[in-house]
Amino acid sequence: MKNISRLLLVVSCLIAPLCQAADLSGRVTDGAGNPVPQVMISVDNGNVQPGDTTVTVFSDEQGEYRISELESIEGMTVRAVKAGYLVVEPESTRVPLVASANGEVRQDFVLKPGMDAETLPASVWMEQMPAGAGRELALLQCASCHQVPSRKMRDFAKHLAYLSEEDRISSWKSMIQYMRIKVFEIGPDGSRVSPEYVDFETMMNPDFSLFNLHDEEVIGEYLGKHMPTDYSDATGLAYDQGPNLTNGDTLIREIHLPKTSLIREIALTPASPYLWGADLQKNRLFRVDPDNPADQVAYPVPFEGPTGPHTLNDDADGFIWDANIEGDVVHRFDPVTEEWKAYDQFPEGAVAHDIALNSSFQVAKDINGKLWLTLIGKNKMASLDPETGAVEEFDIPLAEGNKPFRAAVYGAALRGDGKEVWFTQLTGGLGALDTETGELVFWQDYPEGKGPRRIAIDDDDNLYVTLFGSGEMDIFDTREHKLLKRVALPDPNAAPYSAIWDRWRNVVWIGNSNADAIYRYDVASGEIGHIPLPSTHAYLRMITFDRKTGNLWTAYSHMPIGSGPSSFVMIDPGDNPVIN
Amino acid sequence: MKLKILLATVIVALISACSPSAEQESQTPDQVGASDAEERLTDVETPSAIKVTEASVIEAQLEDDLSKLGCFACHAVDEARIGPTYRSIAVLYRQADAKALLVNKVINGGGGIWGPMPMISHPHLTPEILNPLIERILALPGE
Repeated sequence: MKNISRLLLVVSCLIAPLCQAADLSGRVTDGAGNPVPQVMISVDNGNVQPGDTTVTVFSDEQGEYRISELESIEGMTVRAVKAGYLVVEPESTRVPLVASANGEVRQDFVLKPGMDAETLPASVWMEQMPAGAGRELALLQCASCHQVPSRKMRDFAKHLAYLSEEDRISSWKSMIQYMRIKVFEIGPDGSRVSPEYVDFETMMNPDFSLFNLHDEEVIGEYLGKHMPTDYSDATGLAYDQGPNLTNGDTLIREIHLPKTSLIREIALTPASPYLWGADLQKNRLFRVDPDNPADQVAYPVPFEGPTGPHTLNDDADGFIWDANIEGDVVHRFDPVTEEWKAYDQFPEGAVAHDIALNSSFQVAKDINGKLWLTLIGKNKMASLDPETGAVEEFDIPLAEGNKPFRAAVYGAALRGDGKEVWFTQLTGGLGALDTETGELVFWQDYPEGKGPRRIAIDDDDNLYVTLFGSGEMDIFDTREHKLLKRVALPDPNAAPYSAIWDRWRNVVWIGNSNADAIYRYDVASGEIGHIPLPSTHAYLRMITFDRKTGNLWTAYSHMPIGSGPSSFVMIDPGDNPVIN
Repeated sequence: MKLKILLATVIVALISACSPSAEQESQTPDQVGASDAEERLTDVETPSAIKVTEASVIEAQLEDDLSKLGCFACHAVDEARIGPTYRSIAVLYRQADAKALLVNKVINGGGGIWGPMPMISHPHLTPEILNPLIERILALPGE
């Protein structure tokens, strides 16, 4: 159907000059004629559906912008957004594109300083709340699924405006009890870990929950005391994500995906021209043609029962590895032959979360040819023989009183020599195993709420560990087993989910869950800046690469399903890296 | 706790046994489940509590339909949870022709009636989805 309408469009374009391919350009000023650089200019049809694209560019030093080769301007709209500014002219937020008599398509904007509550990221509301253990635990536990405050959190908080502090605290505690149930609703279609199969009392039991009684106490108290109850006026809030790294060549493409899917991660391999997504909700991989985004094809994971694919990485052989949240199975998919290989020798309840990656950000083998995985269900590490499928488990530390699944062993990275695998735990620490003996060779506890998550390693064997709850990043020397540096990220409430080292640029990209922005940490200079994203509720997990162009790709996956945008996102930083 | 699970199983089993499709298929997994439940039923201390009247079947079905929208986390027909029971909502609102008010409350959230804890908003739900369900809640018997 989409293809037919595309064809009709092409045919009608032959006779109608209106919908010829066009360049949109314009200038952004401050009203006094001064240019406003780094304004996000986004073009789409104003009501995006799966397969539609939003294209975003940024105004340059002169305030000029240009979007080249728009397929058609018919039905298309443009909007301008810059954090810290309000659009004065034109008056409507979205402006239809209109060609002038000579065929030129222009739209100028006038901006003035001001804070627009509608376009600011969630994290700015956290900024006015006191820092410390309460905020860190609230971010770690709540922003694991959605932004803090999400739209629904804001709706809820508004209703608390006239309550006493005591009642606000008790309301937020009830909300955490409610979340114990919601956790059971986030599994894939057909999930056995769902309200359909688990009885109410079990779901509500703090001992079986990701939210234990201590979480309820600390987070309920913190939100009750400090959470704002009015979100209509952002005047006086501060937007600080560090230097803005965009320029006139920066380009962002958001390819919109079905809202009924929960596509949390994306993988690309030079072996395949397509984008591959992990659709946790629908138990499938999801293929999109970047040159024709309306071409979206589902590949159900061939397995008896639900799988919930959630982690997706390529390897040097052109395979895509898929770790599943359910079924205790990991799959390897060949995007060229479309053949699957199932690794199903994991013990029951293991739940492989991450496969250890190397400095190329690819699934890699250790010195004995084995892969390493984090088993989030059991608080264990596992090695996997990719030839035989044999799995071996290894114990890792668990704090007294903590439960294995709540410890949440998470990210993993393999040192360059293949002799050590490093891992994180969300409520635990950072450790390393000797890949030959399976012995723990390094361990460091993290204070509650820090939340070390997905990690990256570089060619010097330095490890980058984002701290989700406190908005920091630790850099470890994995050869010497010592902390080199703790980096405060620009926004302590950004909820940095992942670090990805970029060999071409020698930078670390950081995917944030709560700031509608990505960060770039320059390894040589230590400087940090950001690239803002065009959508709100732009909940990020991993970032990966197009290894041919050096462009970045990520995915929006705000939970629950439908509560935020569902899109693949390409980011060309506009820095012309040398790709080799 | 165990009693409740068994009750739920029995009610579901009875509903499926009453439905034509289950009658037509002779050896379905549903029926295996039903006989399982019947066997386990002997453990229950107070079997006299299980009176499957027509009303209770209707109520179980209502609870099931509402559960699919996630309502069960806070509400049940008779069991006190985070929010009020459906039956107490019916008793309070059925005189007042309050269907529109309740639909609005589900979509936008709100509070102040049953205690300090407000209801969370459900912006993804529509009046079309909610109207028939609210009608069935308001039709629950009780005083």
